[in-house]
Formats: sequence, structure tokens, C-alpha cells
Amino acid sequence: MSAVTPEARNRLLLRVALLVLAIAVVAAPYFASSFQIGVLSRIAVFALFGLAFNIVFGAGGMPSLGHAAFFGLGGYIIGIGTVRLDVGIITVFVLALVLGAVLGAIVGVLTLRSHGVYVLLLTLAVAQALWGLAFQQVRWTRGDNGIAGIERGLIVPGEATLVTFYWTILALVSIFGALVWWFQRSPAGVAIVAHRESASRLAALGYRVSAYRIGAFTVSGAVAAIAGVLYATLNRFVGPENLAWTMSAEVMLFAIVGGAAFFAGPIVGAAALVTLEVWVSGFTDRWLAVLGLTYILTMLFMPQGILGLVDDRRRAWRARREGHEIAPTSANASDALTGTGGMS
Amino acid sequence: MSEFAVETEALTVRFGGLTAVNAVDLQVPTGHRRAIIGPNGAGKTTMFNLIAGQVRPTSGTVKLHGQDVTSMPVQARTRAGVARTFQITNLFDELTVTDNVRLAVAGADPKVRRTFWRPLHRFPHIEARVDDLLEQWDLADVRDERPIELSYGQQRILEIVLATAGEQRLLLLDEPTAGVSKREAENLVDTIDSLPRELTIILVEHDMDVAFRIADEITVMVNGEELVTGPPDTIRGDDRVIEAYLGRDEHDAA
Repeated sequence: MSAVTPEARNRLLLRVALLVLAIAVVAAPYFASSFQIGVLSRIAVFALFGLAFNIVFGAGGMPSLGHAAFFGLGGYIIGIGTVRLDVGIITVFVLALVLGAVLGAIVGVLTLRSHGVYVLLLTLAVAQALWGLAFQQVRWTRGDNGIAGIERGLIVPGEATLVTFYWTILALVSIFGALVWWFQRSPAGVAIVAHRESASRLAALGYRVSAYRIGAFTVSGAVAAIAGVLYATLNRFVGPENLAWTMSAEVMLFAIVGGAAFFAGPIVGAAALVTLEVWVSGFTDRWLAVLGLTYILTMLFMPQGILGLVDDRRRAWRARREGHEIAPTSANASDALTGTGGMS
Repeated sequence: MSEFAVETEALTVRFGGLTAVNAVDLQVPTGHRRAIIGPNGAGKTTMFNLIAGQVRPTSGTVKLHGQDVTSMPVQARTRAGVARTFQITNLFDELTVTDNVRLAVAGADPKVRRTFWRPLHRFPHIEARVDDLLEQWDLADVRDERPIELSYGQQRILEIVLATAGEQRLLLLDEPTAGVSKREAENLVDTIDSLPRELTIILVEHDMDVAFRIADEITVMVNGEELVTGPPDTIRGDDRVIEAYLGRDEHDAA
């Protein structure tokens, strides 16, 4: 073999860059302000939420607008469990995984015969029903007031400080993020992507397509509920807004802006949008308007998200080197919304 | 074990008022290659989908290797040994060629198919079979490409590879050479011809040359009914066939 090829060099560079980034994120408490640590914690939790969501959306091609249901469910499990009742933190995590998975399976079954915008409406309906429940069952949820006083110390082994809490969040997000990564590369995970590309072909290969659709929602729901537990702990609070449809829309935007076709898409999207939100809040409180505008601009100028843009550049660069035509790019994030992504 | 790979009895399908397939008794012996031909709207594709499981009959039964599969869904029939290709190329476009083949091989193995904690490329017995298939079908060079980057002929070959990867016993080919260039079609027919003889093949085909070259026996369908079944030479000379099909559609006869 010849010496180091440019591709190999680029891969090495990318690995080094990722390592440096990882070290910087872990070491952030040594140079960042406590405000910035708070922002990073938020990004980490939303990144996990986005990864869970993208199992259904980016990989499975099913546009859910109801993922706040799982997220809020996790929040209320730790809220009701530790503030109103006296449930142990391990039990809280197990309950979040199990109930998130069960709710995911139910949503998966409900949307089995639907595609595109109908998936969106059905999932939205489920989340809105849960939101209504949280709003009305005051005896359990304290309704509109929500449940305050969730202890951050509960999830931190040892002494709970801002820094140890941040590291606990990072560790939990990394563990569950790694599980999602593992899942997506498994036969079942690849079959979920294949179902997006061609359900009829997958069935003809001997796979029961419905089982993989339900499986996608189940795993997604379980991990999203864990993210919800972390979010409620981070805010020391859970309320109906954790279940609101705007939360579902926001996680969809994390995936779209970052690049739904890529595993790291929601992580990049969460980092970009949370940073934008913090920055914009300096001079306006119309965050939703800014979010909407961001969505429009993304669709217009980089329909495959930030990583899609990077990937295009990389392909173009390689094609120039090899003197090839540029290969067609990967599926648009918008395909999932319109249901045109191989659903025909 | 039945001597017939496929056996249908009084198979009938009505779509609303239209009888697409009417009381067809088809018998394809194991190891035979059968072409189903007929003019447009004769019910060939419906017949094909009835065997594959995409369409359920209004009445009548479908037996595969002696087993009644009339009420079985597609994936169950696949597991019972049925493979199919599609008229319009139907591949996983965003996955690599290797992953396409991996999924096909894994599909035949329930233990692998249901695994969700171990990466798809870490099953040595699957990998060995995938490598064999890619070598055997001249796809090793393009294993990291995506199907959309292949030539159309290569895509059709990949279809056949996916369909037969699970060591199926019955292969259903839906117009395998449709839309393929003349040269690639030749290549494709040779490929189909070189498939193992144990494999029973049923193909629906518009191109008469292809049908006559591949098939041991030909079934001619007209208006949802079986007109005649026989070896290519008999079919070529059959007056009813010439009247019903060749006479009416001279382009295809040429």
C-alpha cells in the first residue's frame, strides 16, 4: 500500500478534532462560567432527546410530532416519583425506560398504517392528550403549576455541585447515546432504515415490517423518556410545557437543522439551536419566531442540515480529486415529512 | 414433499366488478422454469402477486411445496422459501450494496434478524456469505457504493442477489429485463440461466425472446384465464395463442 492517502489523513484529522472536542466538553468546568455549564448541560440533554427522536424520524422516516409525550412522561415520572412519592432514583430510571417503551410501542401500533403527515397528526394527538391529562389531573401533577423541587443531587453519585451534576449528565447522555448508536448499527437498526427505503422489499426478504416500526418507536420512546428525566432534573421542575407540542417541534428541528440523515445530526442541531436561543434571548424574547425563521432558512439553503452541507462539500472534494461526477446526495430531511422517501 | 413447487386451485380474484384472475389451476413442478405471458390486462402480474402474497384471492387456494399458504403474508411466504424481484427496481437506495446484501442474508436467519444489540457487520457467518455472493455476482468492486450509483443492469442483478440470498427454493421474477439495455438484458438472461437448477423459477415477461429462452414451459393467460400451457415450441405453433396474443400484438411477436 502507498503512504497515507488524503482520505485516511482526513479521517485521522476528524478523529483528533472529535477527541479534542470531547476533552474540551468534559474539561469545560475548568474554563467556562457556571452559566455556560448550564447551557452545555441543556445541549447534552437535548442531544440525547434528539438522538432518540431521530431513530423514528431520520432513520425510520416517520415524522413524529409527538415526542414531547415521552419527554414529558420521563419528567413527570421523576417529578411525581421523587417529590410527591418517595421512589428511589434507580426505580425512576427503570420506570422511565419501561413506561417510555410501552408508550412508544402504543404509538407505534397506532401509526402502523399511516405515512407522512398522518403519522405527524396521530403522534401530535397522542402528545396533546397527555398534555391535557397533565393539565387536568391536578391531584397528581399540580396542573398548570407543575412540580417544583426536583433534587439534582438525586442523580449525582457523591457530593452534588454544579460541576459534578454536569459530569453526571454528560456520563448518562454518553451511555444512552452509545446505546442508541449500538442499536442503529444492529440488524434491527439497519432494517428500520431499510423500511424507510422500501417496506415491500424488506417484507420480501422475510422481515415483518410492522415489528420494526413498532420497535423503532419503542426504543425511541424509552430513550426520550430518559432524556425527559434528565431535563426535569436540570430544571428542578416539570410542568405541562414539557409535554407541549412546541417541545416536539423543537426536537424535530434539532434533527433537521443538524442533519436527520446523520447519527450526529441531532447533536449538532441541539448545540446550534440552544446556542442560538441563548444568544437571541439577549435582545428579543420571540424565540419561537426566530425558530420558525431558522427552519425556513434551513429548508431553503441546506435541506439536509449542517452535516448534509459538510457531507456535500466532502463528496465534491473527493469527486474533484478522483475526477468523477458528483454522486447524488442523500435523502432530504423533508422527504420524511411528505412521505416521499421510498414510501411509494 | 410435493412434486409441485407451486400449485393453485380454482384461483380467483375480483377487484370490484373486474375479475382479474378467473379459476386458474397452475401447476409448476419443482425445479421447472415457467414463464407466464399474455397480452396487457391478462392477469399475469396479479397471478404473480397471488403467489408472492401481495394479493389475497377472492376464492381458491395457493400451495407452495404442498403447503397451503393462501392466508400467509409476504414475509411468512419468504420464510417458506419464496423469493421475488420487482418490476420496478426495488432496493434500499440509501444503504450500501453490502448492507443491502447483508440484510437479505440476515433476513433468512431469525436469530440475526431480531438482534438489536450487536452490529450487523459483526456476524461472521453472514459476512462470509455476503462476500461469496458479491464475488459470485461481480459486485465486489461496487460493494461500498449505493444502488443508485450502479448501472441499471447491475441494479437488476442486485435484485436477483437479494431475492436468492436466503437460499430460496422458488424465485419469482417480475419482468426481469424491463427497461434494461439490449446488451445488459443478454447478460441478465445468462445470469438467470446460470442459477442453480434446483431453484424453481416463475417469470412474468413481456419480451418473448427472454421468455422463450429461459422457460421450460410457458403458460399463456388471456382475460384472467389460463389459455394454454406447454413447452415453447408448442406455444409458438399454437393457433389459439397466435390469435389471442401474437396476432393482436404484432410488435411483441416480432
